[in-house]
Amino acid sequence: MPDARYGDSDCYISLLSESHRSAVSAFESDKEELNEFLAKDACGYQNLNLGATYLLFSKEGDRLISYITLSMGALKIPEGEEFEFRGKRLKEYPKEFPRNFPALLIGKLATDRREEARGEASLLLAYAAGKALQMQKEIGCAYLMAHVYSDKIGWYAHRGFKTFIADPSRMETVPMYVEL
Amino acid sequence: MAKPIQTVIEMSKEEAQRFLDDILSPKPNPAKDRLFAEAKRINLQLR
Repeated sequence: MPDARYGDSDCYISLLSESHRSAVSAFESDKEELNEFLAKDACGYQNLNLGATYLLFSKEGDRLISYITLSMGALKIPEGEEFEFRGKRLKEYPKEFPRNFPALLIGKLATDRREEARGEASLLLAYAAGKALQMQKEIGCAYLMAHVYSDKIGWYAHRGFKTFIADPSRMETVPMYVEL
Repeated sequence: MAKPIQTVIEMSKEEAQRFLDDILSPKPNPAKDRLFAEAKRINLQLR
C-alpha cells in the first residue's frame, strides 16, 4: 500500500452522482454508519437538497479515498433564557442578541480504511473551510461545524475546532465548531 | 440505517453559556488560522 501523503495535486473532487455507484459500493471506512450513509442515503439527501456529498479521488487509479457531506446548519441558543458575560446579563450586551448562528455543517466525513492517515481528510476539511469562507462573504455564515465521533475529537481540536459539551466522552458524536 | 444529519444544533442553557463565553471573549486560535490558510491555499480540481 502506498504511504506517501496526498496533496491537492494528487487528487480531484467530484459531486456524488449515480455514475459513482460502483466506487461508492466498494467504500469501506472504519464506521459502518458512514459506509451505509454513503451507499444508501447520500444520493437521496442530495436529490432533496438536504446535503451535498463530495467524493475525493486519487488521480492515480481513480480510487475513492474519502467523502464529505455538507449542509446548511445553525447553532441555536435557547430562547427565553438569560445569559451572563463578565458579570452582566447578556440582554444588556446588546439588547437583541441573536439566538441562531448560521453555519456550514460537515454532516459526514469518512475515509476508506485502506487510504487512512495520508492527509486525505485534511484536504476535505480544508475544502469545506474554503466553501464556508466563500459563503461568509456571499450569504452570511458564521461558523464551520461538524458532528464528530468521540474518537476524532482530538483530530478536529488540532485543527481549531471547539465544543461547548462539558463531557464529550459520554456521547457518540459531539458537535464541534470553528469561527470563521 | 445511518443516522440522519441533524442540521440545527440546539444547546442547553449551560452549553449556550459556554458557547457565549467563548465567542464573546475570543482567544487566539493558531490551529484555526492554519486551517483557513490551508483552505485558501489548496486547489482541488472539481471533475
